[in-house]
Amino acid sequence: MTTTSSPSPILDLRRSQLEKLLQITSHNFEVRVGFGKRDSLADEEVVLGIPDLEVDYRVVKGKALRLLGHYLTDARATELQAQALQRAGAPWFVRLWHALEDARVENWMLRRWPGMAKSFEAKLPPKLGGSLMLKASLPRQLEFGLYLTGRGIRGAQLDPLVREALRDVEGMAGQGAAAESPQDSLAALQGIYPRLKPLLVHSRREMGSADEEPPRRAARQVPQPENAARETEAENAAPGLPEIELEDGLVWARPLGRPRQMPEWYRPGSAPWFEAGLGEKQIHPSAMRSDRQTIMLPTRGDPVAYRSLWLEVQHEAGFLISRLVRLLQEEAYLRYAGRFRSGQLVMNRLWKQRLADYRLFQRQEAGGRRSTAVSLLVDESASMQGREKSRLAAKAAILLGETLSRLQVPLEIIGYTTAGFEAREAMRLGLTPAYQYRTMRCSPLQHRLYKSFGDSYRQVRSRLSDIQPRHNNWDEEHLLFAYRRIRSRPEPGKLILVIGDGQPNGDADHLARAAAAVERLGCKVIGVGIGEDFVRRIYRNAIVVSDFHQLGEALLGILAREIGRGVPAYAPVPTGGGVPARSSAPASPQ
Amino acid sequence: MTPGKPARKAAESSEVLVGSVRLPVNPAEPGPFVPGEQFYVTPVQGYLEKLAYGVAENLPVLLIGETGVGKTLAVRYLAWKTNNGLRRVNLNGATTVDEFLGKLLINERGTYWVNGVLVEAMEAGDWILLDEINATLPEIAFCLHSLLDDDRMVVLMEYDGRIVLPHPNFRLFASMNPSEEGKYGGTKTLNEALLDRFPVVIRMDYLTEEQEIEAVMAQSGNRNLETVGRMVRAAHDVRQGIRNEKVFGSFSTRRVIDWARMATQFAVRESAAYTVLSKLSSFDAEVVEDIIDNYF
Repeated sequence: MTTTSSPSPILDLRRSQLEKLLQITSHNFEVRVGFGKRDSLADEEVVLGIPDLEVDYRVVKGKALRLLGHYLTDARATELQAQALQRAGAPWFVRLWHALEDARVENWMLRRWPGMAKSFEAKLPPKLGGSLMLKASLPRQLEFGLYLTGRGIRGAQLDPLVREALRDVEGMAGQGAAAESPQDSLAALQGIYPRLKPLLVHSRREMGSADEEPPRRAARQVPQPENAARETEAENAAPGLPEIELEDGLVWARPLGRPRQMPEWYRPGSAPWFEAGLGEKQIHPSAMRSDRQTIMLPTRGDPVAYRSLWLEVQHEAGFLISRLVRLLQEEAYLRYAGRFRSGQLVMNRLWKQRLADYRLFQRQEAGGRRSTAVSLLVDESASMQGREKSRLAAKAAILLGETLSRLQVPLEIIGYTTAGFEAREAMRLGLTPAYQYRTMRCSPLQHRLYKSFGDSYRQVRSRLSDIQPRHNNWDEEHLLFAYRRIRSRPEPGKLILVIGDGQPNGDADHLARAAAAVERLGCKVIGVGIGEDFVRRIYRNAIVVSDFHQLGEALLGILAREIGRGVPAYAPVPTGGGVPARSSAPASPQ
Repeated sequence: MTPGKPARKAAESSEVLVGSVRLPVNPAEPGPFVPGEQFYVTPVQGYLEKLAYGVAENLPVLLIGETGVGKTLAVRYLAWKTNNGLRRVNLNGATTVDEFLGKLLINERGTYWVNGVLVEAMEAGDWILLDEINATLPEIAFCLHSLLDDDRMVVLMEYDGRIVLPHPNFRLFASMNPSEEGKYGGTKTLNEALLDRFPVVIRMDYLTEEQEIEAVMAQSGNRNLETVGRMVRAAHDVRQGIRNEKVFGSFSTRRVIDWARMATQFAVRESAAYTVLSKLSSFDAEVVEDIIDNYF
């Protein structure tokens, strides 16, 4: 099966819309839709041949629905029979059967979904082709006319011979097109075919070999026979297959997927590292981007991969959600305070009215519950490769996403990295040796917004399956990016969680200073270190976890403290200090 | 809460049969809170019979279901059939214990106590339906504990510690949207202790196609069976999509009724835009429009 990825976001949106349409219409939520070179069907997949991007949505929709009809009334065996009959000396038999079968499927669908007529008929030429139809060969006119007859559509201008032949078979064609199964339409065509055959033979004689049945460009709606489908699949899939070389009995196969690219400086043991006190930071002009330009649209992700990750975090998420809900319920008590002339009467103050003091009432205090916005920054740098760190980060994102969406806490999930490996970019810019330019950023930043504050988590959650190690990271800039976004939130409490291994490119002091500055501006920053404890040297609030269980416990503590109490009562960092005391400790590269 | 219009007695007989359950009809003159005549299609799943069982046995009943499945209507229908007053309280995060139990007010002669809606219903022997119970505050939930327990009483601690015992005709019902999905704003998972105190919990689903067609035709005034049938089938398709997380939102019977009602005046597709599609996000609206397009 050849399924090409959608060449444009518009088409991708259409694909998603069509997939939902087919799934909901058929109540079969396993059906997938893809775009390919030609129409075809396979198990749980409908591939639409889209000739160009400008094609009318209504036409594509009609085609998709027709294919769904063929999918639902599986005609694989009947297709083989039709091909056998054609080989036995019945030219154009398969094409004519396809025409009648198209009409039958459309009629079958229209009985339940009458509104589909608009979509089915969108493919018909205006005024049914006018006199241009007369220019087509007789077999083509017969094919088109048989479809129209089956559908009960009149008014096409066809050759008088064709019109007469179709008038003769109208009853049988109508029966075949009104039938319930593909076998019935095949049986009907077997009855019709002898009456149409003289025209087909006449046409062959008149036009000679030029009018031989052309090779079918499109497989149309009916699935290919198994062997042919397999051959086609093998043919189309060949370029993507791993190369297999047989040498002296040894089999070597190149791994599937994109080969992993490692930076030039990479040697086993050379990463990760953590350095501080390197000095001033610079950004190469070619790597300057506005915030907007650094935002990457993540892929739609793989729902199956997401589900597999979710199954791993499900238990922890359930625990986290139930504990948090309980904590928040305890926090949800109303509190009354103050001395007012109306509100809730405080019985103990009633005696004061004797003294003409009528401020006997309390009023409800404005609650600060659930008034915290959370931004989760996930490190997608190459140093997250080892020990499943990246997978743990993805699971953490899922855990937080599932939990906070249920608690209706505004959440943003950002994956951060750079567009390329720094050392490679430095060399490309002529900055050699690259290690001397450790404090210069040569590669543009990238931020993948897996979930923005406005997104519904459930709609975008599959994207999280795409979290993976990519290139490098300049955490201080990514942190400031997240801060600039969360700053505009109306919630009084703002929390940025940074999940990573705490190994930024360049000077770690820069990150420590940025984190302290963000905290001074009223946004709490918590570093969650996976496997490595470098985060303790950078963030004032940091936790280190080595496995997922620890992560769940740690997140519970953080969320209960930060969200449960509403406005976080953080202690501002003294200004002017720059780097917190802990981070000023001499840092040794690993 | 607005009192219903003066109701006719549903039946002259002394009892009503709901499935296998016999419910006594209140012999008193219809009070201001007895609902007017109700049209109700009894769901084939037997929800109404189980609800009637709760009434007959004086057991509090919790109804859980998506918006528009007919939770409130089921209680209102039984109240009408049995000639009992029904007070409906829409709980929200701001409903306080004062409004619920009562409060002390003050005037020139000193303080005086005003009963809240629960105490009033308990003393008058009316039924009370607490809508959206999972949106309420924990204080109210804890007030209900003693009423839902076997001792069935409320202590007015705010006043004089008086104990209020319910009238024999008093019944308590609660309803909520499923909170597991997290899609209904302001709701939360129901406290286990409170959930435990409802001996009967009914999870309601939408009506079957045929029943929904009947209900929509009766309530919308749209007598076109073909059109209403297609509307209901489109709604069922969309609900399948919602259950499988392909579309987010809801397509309740209430929305179908609104759509069918408007379609008596305007074109069907145009009515759908104003009653169904405008309540969905733009992408979901496109998908739902495609589904509606299959039928019209």
